Amino acid sequence: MTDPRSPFSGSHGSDHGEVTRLLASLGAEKDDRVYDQLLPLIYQELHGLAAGFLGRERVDHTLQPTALVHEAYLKLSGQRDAGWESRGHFFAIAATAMRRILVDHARGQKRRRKDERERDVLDSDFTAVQADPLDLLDLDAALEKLARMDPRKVRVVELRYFAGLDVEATAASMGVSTPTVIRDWRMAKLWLKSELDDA
Amino acid sequence: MNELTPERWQLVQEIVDKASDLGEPDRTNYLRSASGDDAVVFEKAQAMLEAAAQTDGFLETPLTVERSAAEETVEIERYRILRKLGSGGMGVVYLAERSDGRFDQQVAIKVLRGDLGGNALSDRFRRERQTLADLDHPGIARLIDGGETTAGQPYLAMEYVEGLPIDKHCARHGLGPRQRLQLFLKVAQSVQFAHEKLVIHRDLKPANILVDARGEPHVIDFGIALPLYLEDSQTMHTSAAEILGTLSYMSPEQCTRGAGATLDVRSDLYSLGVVLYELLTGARPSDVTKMTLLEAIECIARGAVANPSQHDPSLRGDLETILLKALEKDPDRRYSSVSELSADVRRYLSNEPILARPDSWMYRTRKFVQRNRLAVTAGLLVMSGLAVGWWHTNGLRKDAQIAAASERAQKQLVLTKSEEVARKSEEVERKSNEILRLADLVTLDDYRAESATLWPAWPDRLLAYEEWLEKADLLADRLPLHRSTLWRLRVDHSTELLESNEATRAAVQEYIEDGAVDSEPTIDATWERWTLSNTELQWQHDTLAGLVVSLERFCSHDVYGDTIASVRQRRNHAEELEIVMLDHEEAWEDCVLTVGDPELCPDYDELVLEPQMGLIPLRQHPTSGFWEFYVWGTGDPPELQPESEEWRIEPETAIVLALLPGGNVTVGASLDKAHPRYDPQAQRSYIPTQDVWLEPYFLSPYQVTQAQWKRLIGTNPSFNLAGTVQGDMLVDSRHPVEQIDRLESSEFLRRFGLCLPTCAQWETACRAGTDTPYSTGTNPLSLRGYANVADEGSAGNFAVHWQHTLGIFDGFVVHSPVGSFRSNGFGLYDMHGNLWDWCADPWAELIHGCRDGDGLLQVPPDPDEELGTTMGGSYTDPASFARSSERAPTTATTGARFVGLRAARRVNP
Repeated sequence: MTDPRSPFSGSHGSDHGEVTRLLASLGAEKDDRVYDQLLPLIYQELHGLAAGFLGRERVDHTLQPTALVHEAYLKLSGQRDAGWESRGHFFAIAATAMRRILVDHARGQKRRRKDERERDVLDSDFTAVQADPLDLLDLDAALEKLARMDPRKVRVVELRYFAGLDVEATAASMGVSTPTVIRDWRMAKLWLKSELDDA
Repeated sequence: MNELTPERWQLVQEIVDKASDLGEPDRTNYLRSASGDDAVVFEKAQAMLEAAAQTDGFLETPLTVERSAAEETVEIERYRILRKLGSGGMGVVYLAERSDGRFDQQVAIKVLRGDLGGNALSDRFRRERQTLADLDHPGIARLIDGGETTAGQPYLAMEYVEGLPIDKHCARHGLGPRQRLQLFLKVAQSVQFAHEKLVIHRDLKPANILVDARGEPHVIDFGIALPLYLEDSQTMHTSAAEILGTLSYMSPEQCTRGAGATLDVRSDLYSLGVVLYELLTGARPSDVTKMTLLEAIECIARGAVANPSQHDPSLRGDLETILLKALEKDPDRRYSSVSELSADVRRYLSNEPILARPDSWMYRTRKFVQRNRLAVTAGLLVMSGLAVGWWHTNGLRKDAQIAAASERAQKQLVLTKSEEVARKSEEVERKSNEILRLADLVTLDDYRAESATLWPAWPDRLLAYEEWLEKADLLADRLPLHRSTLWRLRVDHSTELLESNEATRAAVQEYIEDGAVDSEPTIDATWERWTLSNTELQWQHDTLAGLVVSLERFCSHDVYGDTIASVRQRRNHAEELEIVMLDHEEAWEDCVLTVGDPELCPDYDELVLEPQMGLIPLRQHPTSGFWEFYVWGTGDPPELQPESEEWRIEPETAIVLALLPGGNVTVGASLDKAHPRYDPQAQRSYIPTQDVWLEPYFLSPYQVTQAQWKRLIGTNPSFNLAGTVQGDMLVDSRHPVEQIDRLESSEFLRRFGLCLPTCAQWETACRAGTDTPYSTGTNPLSLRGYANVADEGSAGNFAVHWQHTLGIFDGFVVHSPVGSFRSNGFGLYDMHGNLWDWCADPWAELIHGCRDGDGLLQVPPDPDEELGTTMGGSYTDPASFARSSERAPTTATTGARFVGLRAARRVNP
């Protein structure tokens, strides 16, 4: 029995064995608690990786989130060639983490604009670049609303838009069929578009 | 209750699904009846159906991540930035106008990323600026200006074109095949114009061909495209995705030659072929977007091109022949110029027979010429017409400039045949000199490449050094000739000298006539740029000036580059080493006897050790019993710390090696609790354990220091650089070097007869006979006093970190001077922590087994060469990552601030 407060129990586990184990149990149970345990780990890892990639005296540099997520998976699980089942779960969580990071940042930006003095507390030094001219915070709010009635569609949007996965990879990651993803994606887009136009 | 409940949402979706296919007024009627009197459902369904008309492209492009610093304002003298137009791998593009009102044209300003080799770019830009400014053609967006922003980033200002990329333009206006071909011809004409001015584009793709509102195409970014494979390996990682996007348009020679590729007009021609292919078929000849970088390069270099008729059967026949000729892998089999391609397209449009046909006899001749290029170069000087044709296609064609030179030489020689024999023979001689000069450029390249192979500097290379130095000196002797030719060109043709005063011109004349041109002439005036009276002379001048600069560098005192000075130093080292080895014969005798004695050195198993070239024996380690050596030529022999048995590692200290015993060893850990190697965190790709037989090997007790790297390579690439303060602590040059990729690491070691250790060697050395997860025990806290890891004291102090390990305070926020912590049972330092060490193995599963001898991991036929393996953990990682058998997959082409290297060497190689 490990002491739950010991530095070497769960809270510490941003290492291979830990993540792999958590991912495995997630696959079996779809346990929300495991999900909640993994999210902060992956959030932190993505954050660190992005800061590392983008932080080296670069004037301007963009990065595909898919690359980041792959790298995070590699580092956290220590496995290159795990099947899609375990990789898929990871991607699903990573996509959520990616959304949170970018939305948190956008929120921080907004706050900063209100009060320049808060500049120092900015939590993140990278930001989302979108081809669509839409406000990330509005999109996030709309997704929150969608999550209350149809969380699966939110997952599809996260994987497709925030993690850059294609339809097949999204389907594999979620363990659903491709036509389901295509239909969810279409409906989610229509709904989001109507919400955003409304706002 | 007007909330959209899950039930209502279900209904809304069904309605939207069905109504999508209906036209008005059926749709509204259906909406009404299906939603009954539920206004919430009706409104939402209606809103979604309305939105359907505008969801084209909505959320289709996944977002990308960008560093927010890009939001920093950019200031450029004389310009007012209006807005950001976009950003990409090269940098950010802004729309701007002149703030001094000199002209009212809007410009696109490209501010280049700081790490994109600013120097190389500004050099190149300066060299080509005049030529680029001469590109005055309505179909080419002109380069207007360039310089540095107030913050010192290089920028280029170009004519701003408002328009759509050519592929989007064609799609939007629904252009038919003939219209597309006609549009393409206009593009080809612009490109041909630039080629005649000796400028190649290097990055032709739809995004660089914009069609304005009047339907006129404009080629942008002419002559400024940077090679995507920059020398800076750091960019590799993140630009991979971007490279893939552009790769489809690159010619095979462009994507295989990599950095510094020299290309000619036929590379552009290939890219145009891809654009035309895409315009006509809607597909690309090779779809590489889903491949890894290496697969993509392989596919473009050697993969088959899908026949255009597979996409559209109506293309079968002439158009297919034209496309496939433009897309030949071998440049010699393509059209030789863009105008030839255009001519065939025009013939096709007017129903004339096209010229493109396989020409096997010509092809074979050209191949023959390529194989015999030197003979052909000589042949050119004595033969006329036929030789000219050969020259035209020979392999000396290093880039567009040289190719163009040959064309000019050809024209000149053809002239010879017809008129004024006397004048022409003079001309031919002048041209032959010119060609000899160009041959020197090639020779210089060859010598440099050869010099890179002349390592390590050991006595057995003395003969090779002498031979190399002899021919290099001959080449260097021609520097004065090149210099005087260059100045003669300037005094005869440069605007600057023609307009300068009599005294200056006289001084230059005198300088040339003296023939003593070991230096530049002493004149009062200096010019940054030389303008010659026509493009041809300008080209001659610039090429020659480039040769002079390269040769000067080749002859300089720089001992770190591919220079004569470096090879001469190596020769002297090799001579000295021969004597040094003789001087240490006794020390070696003692060492060899002890090593072979089973009583004095039981671990070595009566090893028959020969004296090792370049190594000087130091001592037998008092506790481990292993012999230690230092690598001669890498620094001073180490000295013992006062009243201690440990070496004092100073900045001047040489690389030290320990001779470790071989034998049957076990590699890896196990998840099985009953296994002696039980490690609950064992990596799945590294079980089960493997048994392997290792020969004895040398491994350095210390990681390579920043001082050693700087002394031997001339630079210090480290992120936490010696002389800087990191978290209240001054980093000094005894800290390990980092931010070096695997290739740099093994190249560094190769120069001194060393190599990277294999994972098996590394793990065996780290374990020092233990089976526990750490050589210090089973608990990460046992590393206290033995390792520098991400400890409590480093929490929150740097940007890239995982979680830190509670309960360890190692006293360092970043890495520590090598040997700062206690050594393991083999007398090796920092095996756990400080920096990850590069290993020789590619990243693969342990299950493939290790080979006997050095224990190198056996891998499937094509391992992912982009991924290497590092071991040992680092100051950025928690203690649990410093486990003896933990391997980290690490991008081999990227240097990281947490990866360093440790030298190894084979015994009796």
